[in-house]
Amino acid sequence: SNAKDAKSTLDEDDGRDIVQQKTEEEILFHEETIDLGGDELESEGNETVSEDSNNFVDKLNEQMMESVIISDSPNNSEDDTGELGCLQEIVEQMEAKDNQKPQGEVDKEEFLSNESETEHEETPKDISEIGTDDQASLKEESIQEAVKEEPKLGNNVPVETKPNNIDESKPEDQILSPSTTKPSSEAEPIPVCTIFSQANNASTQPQLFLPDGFEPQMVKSPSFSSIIETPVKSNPQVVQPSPSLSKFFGDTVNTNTLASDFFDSFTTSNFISVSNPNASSSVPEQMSSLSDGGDGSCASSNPALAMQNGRPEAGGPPSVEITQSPKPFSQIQAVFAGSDDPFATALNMSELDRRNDAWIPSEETRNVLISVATQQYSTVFIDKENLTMPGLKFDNIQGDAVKDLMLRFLGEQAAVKRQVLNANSVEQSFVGLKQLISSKNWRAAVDLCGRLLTAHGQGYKKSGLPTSHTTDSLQLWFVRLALLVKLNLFQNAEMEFEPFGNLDQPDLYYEYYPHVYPGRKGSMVPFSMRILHAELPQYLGNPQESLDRLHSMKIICAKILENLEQGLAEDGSMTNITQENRQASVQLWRSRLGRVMYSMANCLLMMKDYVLAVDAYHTVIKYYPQQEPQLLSGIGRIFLQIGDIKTAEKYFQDVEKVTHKLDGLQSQIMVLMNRAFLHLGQNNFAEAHRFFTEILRIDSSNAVANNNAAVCLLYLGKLKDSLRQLEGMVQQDPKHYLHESVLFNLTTMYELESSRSMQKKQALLEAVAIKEGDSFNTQCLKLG
Amino acid sequence: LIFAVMRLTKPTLFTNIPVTCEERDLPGNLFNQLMKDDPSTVKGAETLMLGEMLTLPQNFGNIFLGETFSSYISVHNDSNQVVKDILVKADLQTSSQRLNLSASSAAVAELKPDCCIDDVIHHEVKEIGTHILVCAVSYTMQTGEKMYFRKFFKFQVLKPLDVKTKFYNAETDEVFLEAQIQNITTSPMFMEKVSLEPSMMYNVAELNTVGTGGESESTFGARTYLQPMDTRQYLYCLKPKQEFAEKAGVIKGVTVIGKLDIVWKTNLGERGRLQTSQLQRMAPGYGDVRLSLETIPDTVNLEEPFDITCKITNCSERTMDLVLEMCNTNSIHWCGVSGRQLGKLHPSSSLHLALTLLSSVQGLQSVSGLRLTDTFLKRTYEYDDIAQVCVVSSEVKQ
Repeated sequence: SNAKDAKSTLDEDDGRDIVQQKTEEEILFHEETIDLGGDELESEGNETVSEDSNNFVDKLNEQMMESVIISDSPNNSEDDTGELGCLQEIVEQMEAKDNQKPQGEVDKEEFLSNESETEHEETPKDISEIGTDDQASLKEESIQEAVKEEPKLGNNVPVETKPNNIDESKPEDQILSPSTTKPSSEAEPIPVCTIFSQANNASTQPQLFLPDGFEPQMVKSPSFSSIIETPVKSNPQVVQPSPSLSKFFGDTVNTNTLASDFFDSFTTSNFISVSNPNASSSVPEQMSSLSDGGDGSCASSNPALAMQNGRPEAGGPPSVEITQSPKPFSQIQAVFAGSDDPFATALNMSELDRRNDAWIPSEETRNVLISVATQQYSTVFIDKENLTMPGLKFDNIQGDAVKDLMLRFLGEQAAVKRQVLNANSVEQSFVGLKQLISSKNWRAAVDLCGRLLTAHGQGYKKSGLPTSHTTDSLQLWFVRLALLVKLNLFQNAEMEFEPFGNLDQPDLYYEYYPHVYPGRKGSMVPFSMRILHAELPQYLGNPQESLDRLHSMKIICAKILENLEQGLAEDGSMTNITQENRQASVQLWRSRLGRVMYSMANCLLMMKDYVLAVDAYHTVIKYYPQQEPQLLSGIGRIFLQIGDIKTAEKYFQDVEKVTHKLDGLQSQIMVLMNRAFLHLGQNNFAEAHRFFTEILRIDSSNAVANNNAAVCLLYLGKLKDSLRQLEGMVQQDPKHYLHESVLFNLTTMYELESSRSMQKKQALLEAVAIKEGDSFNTQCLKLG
Repeated sequence: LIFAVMRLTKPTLFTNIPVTCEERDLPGNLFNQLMKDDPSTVKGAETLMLGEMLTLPQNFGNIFLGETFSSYISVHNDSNQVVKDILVKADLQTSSQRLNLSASSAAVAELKPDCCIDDVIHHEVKEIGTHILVCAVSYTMQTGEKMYFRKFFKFQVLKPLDVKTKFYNAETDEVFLEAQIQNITTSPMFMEKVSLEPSMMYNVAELNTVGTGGESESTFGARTYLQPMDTRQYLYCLKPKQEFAEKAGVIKGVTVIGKLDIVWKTNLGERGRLQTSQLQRMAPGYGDVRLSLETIPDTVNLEEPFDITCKITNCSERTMDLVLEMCNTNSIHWCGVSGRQLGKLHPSSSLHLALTLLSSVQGLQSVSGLRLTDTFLKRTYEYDDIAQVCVVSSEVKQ
């Protein structure tokens, strides 16, 4: 009888739909107030019906389940004001009607034979398909409409300047209102709010992927498109001092134009500089001239050994023959012997290096490394695919979006005043690089990294060409890629990361260069670069890949910790390590493992897998116990975001328990902040504002509290006060508060406030121009 | 005057992209310092992605049935003269009605240059489909000229949930309701409350928690929210109230079971609430006379008699005079006399009947073969497959 039951309810449902439509139509005809697009409203009515028939199909598919029409929201909600009372009654009555009528019709409908039911089955399907399509297109339409309407609105706006306009529009309204039944919807499009419509463009993409004024430049280098096919013609067969080197040594050795001189080395193994076969040709002239008067200290004191352990192409493309000709090696050994430093090797393999660089290669890579170590003088064949051959994928992303905007809105004169550091205006070295980074000129810094890498032979179009790596070159890559990520240029970062593979290729290990880094072991890839590499896919919409990479990192970190606990060295070898050093190593690797967990938690949060994310953050607390209050607060905020206020409150209480023991400004602020957020979750903006203000009393320069208090004011209907607070804050300490989130809020409020928002935004642009570097995300000014 | 409207959905928390490095890396602590200086990071835990900075809604977003539509209405005097008698009116036009949302209907006497009138309106959305916010402003210029203009803001209200229900009728008068609730929005949804408000005839027991040692735990575990397109099953057990259960005939045909009341929350406590329409259930048809089992053993011995108790209820509108016949099947053998008079049975009343039977076949056996005949109308009602018993050989049972 169950099936029968279901059937009858199905039919009944259908009947109800019809009734509802009827009542809807009835109302439409009676209604007088509709003065716009009655057509449209009617079509909406159809749409809802078709949506319901969609459900009907669902039901047929699922046979037993009955879709329930959600008739309306309950009447006894607390939020309702008295005025709405009468409205609810109407709704109630309607509902009652709906419920009564179908009951009468049920009996009739029950007689529907099976055949007619199958007929039913087919027709509504079509309708529903159309219906959903319709819906989608309708949505799009409204967006397009919104965009189109913008200029029209503009006409509407200056009402008082053209009083005639209003008089004209007035009768129009009057004409329209009597013709309730069929005013053509196309004739009078509905203006849509500018604020909404503007943001519509961005709405389709998550915020993270917003372009910051720059199109990711997909400069395709020829070698990129055909990495494997590209024959390395120019490479000499024999590895004697390469032409490039001989050129350096022969002609300009005294002026120290060796590419490697540009690297301020910062690791213990700084006396070896390595040059690549590709290096010479691509050293910019400008650079060589710059460095002419520059620092030759390192090179002059050491007999700069330019060592080319290039792997010239002997056979076909698939494999690269490493002909490590004995000659240079004897030279190297001579150098070491002659350096009168018996501790050189020992120093090289210092505790610090070993601890830091430790990494466990994959089985395959390990085998290659072992064969390199044991068969120094014979040839080792390595598949070209297993080599890392990076190169810049785009020449120059240098540019200053702020200046471009100034040119557009403030004129050339103002734009000239905008002065930021660029890659040319600093020293072509790590010092200059750091200068650019700390002055927030990250685009210029990316550019400078590119130049330094070009000098190393890994420049533009060099991807896919054999090269060799040094500690410095990898650090440069790390900085460049990290900055690209910081600039939200994820695609660019991904492109340039690609040749590095999974960061486990043999030539990324020190053991691969036994003569350059004698005795040194481990990976050249900085740990932070691995993190970066693992995190990158999640910003490109592939968080699963990020999780995979993070998991394999986690496994290696755990393995290293296990090795240490078992009295072995990090990589599992038998090395004597003093207790002290072992302790330090355990500490380092624990914190690294914690960092991996942090990334995992962040990634899970991005995937909106909140349950796992919360678990992961709990794990992070184990590794970073000092961050417990912050992390617990963060978990609380996650629950707030989901809407689970109760659990959020529980976490905030935990924070208060933890911080109870500590006193101090920071924990006090944290507690107040959490309370404010809790009130926010309870829709109590007034109380939330009170707590944010409380924080400001303790710490008047707290940017978050300032901003959040201003946001609360807006929700309380105090636009002017809110603006005053934000403006005051930006003027007070522009260096600190010209943050994109703050500016975003500010410009949003300007748009709400008046027609002069453009001028005010331009004023903000000027402020930004003085304080911010080229990495500033101009999107938040909404000047576009 | 300038007029602007902004929908006030809850603000969102700013997320930053952490990029860290280690002391020994090229930038030293530069990256970490940059993150520390960034006001949007969490101090002391800069790697935490979820910051504390609130950002205003960037777009209109979606609005769903049962949520509250809040909007900021700002009227700003951009001119350089004072305007008088400003009246701001905000109406919401739905497909069926027009509502006034303005908090105050009184006119503002005057508005100086660069000042504004602010209003935040709230409305709980009760209809699906196109809504149009109609804002009208009328005012008087200094010259005495009367001005009037209005603007329309259109938005669509979507359905947030898909609710499907299914009834299971138990042997007893209990009814089980399974409700599948699917989140068809694009954001996670915290289900604060999903309860069944029963109609007057029923008592309801929610079966969505599992009691473990005094503490009840949700059957959904730690996952308190519904991801987009996720579906949850809620189960309710409905028992007719005593007074209605007695009169079994009352619960017949289509009955109103009650309605589901659903309260959810999304970002930062944005609240929504919906009720379904009255859920209706077709009570299983019992015909005129209902025979239900009160007691029956689950396992019996082969070829050994056992007792069952039946309840016979007159569900019709008339008095019946019943005769009971017992027909043996190839496994079930009834003990006692067939064709016995049960006497008169009034409408909505019932009688209990103890019967003895035995099974000659092992295995799961169906109890069948009862026939009731109403001698007034000469109508016979057949009762087969009343229940199943497991028949085992007596050796096994011991």
